[in-house]
Amino acid sequence: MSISHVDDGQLHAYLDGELPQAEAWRLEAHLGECPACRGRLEEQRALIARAGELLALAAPPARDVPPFPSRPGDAQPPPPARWPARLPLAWAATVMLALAAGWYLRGEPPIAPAAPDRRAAAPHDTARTVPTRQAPESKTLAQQAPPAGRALPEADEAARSVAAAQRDQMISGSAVPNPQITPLDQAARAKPPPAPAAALAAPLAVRWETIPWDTARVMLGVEPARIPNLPAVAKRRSAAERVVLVEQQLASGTVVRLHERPAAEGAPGMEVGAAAVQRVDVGERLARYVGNLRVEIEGALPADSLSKLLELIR
Amino acid sequence: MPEDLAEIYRSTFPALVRFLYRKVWDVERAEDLAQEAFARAVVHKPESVRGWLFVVAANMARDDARRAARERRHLTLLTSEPASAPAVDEAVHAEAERSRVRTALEQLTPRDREVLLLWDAGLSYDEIATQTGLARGAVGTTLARARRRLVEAFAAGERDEHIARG
Repeated sequence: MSISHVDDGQLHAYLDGELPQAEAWRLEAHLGECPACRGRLEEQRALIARAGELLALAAPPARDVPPFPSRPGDAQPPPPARWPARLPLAWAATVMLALAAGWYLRGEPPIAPAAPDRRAAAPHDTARTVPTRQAPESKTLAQQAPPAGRALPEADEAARSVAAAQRDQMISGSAVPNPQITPLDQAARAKPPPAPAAALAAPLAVRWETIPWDTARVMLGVEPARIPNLPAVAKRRSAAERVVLVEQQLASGTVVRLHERPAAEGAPGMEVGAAAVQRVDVGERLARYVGNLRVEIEGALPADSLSKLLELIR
Repeated sequence: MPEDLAEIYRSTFPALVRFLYRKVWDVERAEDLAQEAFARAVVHKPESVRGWLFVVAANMARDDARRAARERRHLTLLTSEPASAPAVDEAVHAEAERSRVRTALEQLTPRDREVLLLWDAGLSYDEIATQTGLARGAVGTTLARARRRLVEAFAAGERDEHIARG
């Protein structure tokens, strides 16, 4: 056969098993009488093998296939918590405090996991593969979490100022006592808001007091979880309630709050011993569970950093 | 969920994750995006599911990369943290290799890289041609070039490192 030599593209298609039959026969006929092209065939075979090896080096670690996603959005990763520093901190604090307060008052988790981490649950969780099971949880989330700040238009302004003051206090770690009656309390009394809002509004005045690290350790019976190599402030709401809040400031505008109870009691909303990392997307603020630890992130933190952070905590 | 889609999910999910991983370089992110692509497929019911999935996934990865670029300064926030436990040599080595391959891949043209990753994810020449707009006959040529450049760029990276180390 005296046709021109085969080109690399044909050789690769041939070696990939993608050359149409007729062309493959022609190519083989040529190879049969052309040692140069046979040599190139072997070169390209080695090249394909080498490229495959390299790509394999850059393969993700093998993991179980998670359950089939039931709806769009379920599997959607949370957007990185992006709170530009210029966003009024008061608003942020209002939402944060309202959520936290609602959670403690009710003695229930403030938010049902909207998108439980499928990896952790993959081996044993069959419920989540059924789409309809998730709907009620999502509704709970919608009712409980986001409207906290907005449900009280008349108290909103007051809440902002109080919350801002409290937040500053929390971050600075000082223990300045709050006024006994806050503007928000007054607003709430003057005009009782609808029930869910009331549950959220009242405890806005609740404060976390800074406690010595040793005290936190005694409360939990173990060393409180924290991010290594970062200053941490331990706080509690009351001596009776065995919840330790560890606050750590990652950067200006980014605060991590770790809520922890003694191991035997588990994280609120979590079965004891569930070593799962659950995450809950609350507007732009992230709350995740690592074991029995509730992690709240406030401020800008991209997903990559978040994963690293959670690894560190674990 | 349609039966066939569930079947495609089982057979294609790992490949889709592998494809996405080489774009976002974060396995959890890659899995999240892959799941989202499937979740969208449930709604859109595309005719050719596999090809459609890779198109959607590629788009999502591109958006993701743009956002990541915008926020890169935040990424440095935690990377300076010392590792909590000393990693074993093997892990360090694997990470270095992965990073070298990543650098090499980034030296390919976008089209060459795309074709290579699609092939590696298990798509046929026909599927790759449909997705990239290449003529079917050009897929082999593109793959030949992409593979050669990947291998060369990787080797060059290794050489440079040896020189740098002295």
